[in-house]
Amino acid sequence: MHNCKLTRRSFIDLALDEVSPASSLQLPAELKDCQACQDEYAALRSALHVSNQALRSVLPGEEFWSGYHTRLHSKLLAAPQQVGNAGEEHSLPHLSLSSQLWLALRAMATTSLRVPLPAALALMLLVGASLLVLRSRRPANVTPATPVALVETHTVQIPVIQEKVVTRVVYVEKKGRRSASRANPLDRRETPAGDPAARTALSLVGFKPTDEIKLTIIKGSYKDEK
Amino acid sequence: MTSEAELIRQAQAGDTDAFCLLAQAYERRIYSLAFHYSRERQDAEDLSQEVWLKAYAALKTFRHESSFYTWLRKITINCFLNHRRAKSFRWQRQTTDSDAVESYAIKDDAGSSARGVESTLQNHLVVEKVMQALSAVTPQQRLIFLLKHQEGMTYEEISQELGCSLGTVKKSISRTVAKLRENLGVNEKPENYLSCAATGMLR
Repeated sequence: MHNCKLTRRSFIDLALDEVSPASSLQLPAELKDCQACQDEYAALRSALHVSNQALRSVLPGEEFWSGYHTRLHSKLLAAPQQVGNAGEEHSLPHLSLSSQLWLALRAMATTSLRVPLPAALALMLLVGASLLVLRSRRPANVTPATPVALVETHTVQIPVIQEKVVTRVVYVEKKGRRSASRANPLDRRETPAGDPAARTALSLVGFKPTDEIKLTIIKGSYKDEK
Repeated sequence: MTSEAELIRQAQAGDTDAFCLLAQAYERRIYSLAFHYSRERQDAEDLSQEVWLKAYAALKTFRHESSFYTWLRKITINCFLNHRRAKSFRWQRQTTDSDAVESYAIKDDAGSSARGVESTLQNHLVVEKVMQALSAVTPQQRLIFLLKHQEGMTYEEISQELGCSLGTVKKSISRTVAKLRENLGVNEKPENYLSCAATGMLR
């Protein structure tokens, strides 16, 4: 089915002979069936035709070309030609060495290279990054060197006194029983008065638990004692 | 008559006159392209002569792998692209209508009005409209249009020469044609396009 919008997309290609062989048969057939598309295509071709005529008409006349050619000839005489090998140098126009050098320098200075944009951007980024790195490193190099303290390590061996820890268990009589032990002359004899450490050490030596158990029943409670 | 191949061989050997004869064969095409691209007579002459100087300097590298004109056109396109980069500020200045009109005045001084169709005011206005349309697009779009419309290059060849995609080529041509149609006011009366375009100008 004919679709004007789709058909018109191909009009420029059709007018400029850029359609595929299949489309070049199909499009004219579609144009026959649609008057609006026919008008549109005709208008497009007319615009191209007018522009072609207009562009041709603005070209200079014959009298212009003689002067143009003279100027070109004089420029060509002054221009060097690239030489494939040294043996062909005689074919160059005769120019002084200084003018040849000047022309070569000028050509070198005005030569431009086409660099793809991504490559140019990458190159610029690389240069920028390296400049930043250099800049950041520079202050560390420029600052005057401060005297660095040298640390020398000497090992000195000294005797370390290892103290022995002696654990001694001391049994001390409870307060209530102290008075009883005072009454025991045996204890008093064996315990030197001036040496409390010796006294406590000997305090249990002669101790013998009694064989008899004497039970004393105490009646009452603390309330009765009051 | 000396053939083109013989002239090329002589020019490669350093014969400037042989090269001038070669230049005579193609100088109008190169100048035409340069003039429509730059829209300035002086720029067109500078550009086209720069093309010939570069071609002369590089003639030793021509290996007859393509036609001489195809080789020359490559140099022309490179010259145009370099010229665009170098003088981009000038392109911006030239986009005004007054400059475009001034450019045609210079063209008339050069004595270009030999053709009858150009002598009438109507046709002059149409030419002006076309040039204004070409001024309204970018230099690359203009160059792509000229390479297709004037040089008859294929989309593929243009994309290879300019290093851009096929889509860019198609889009550039489509945009330029749209500008031309807009400026010319040619819509549905193809048989009367000249008066239609001129009336559009006077409106």
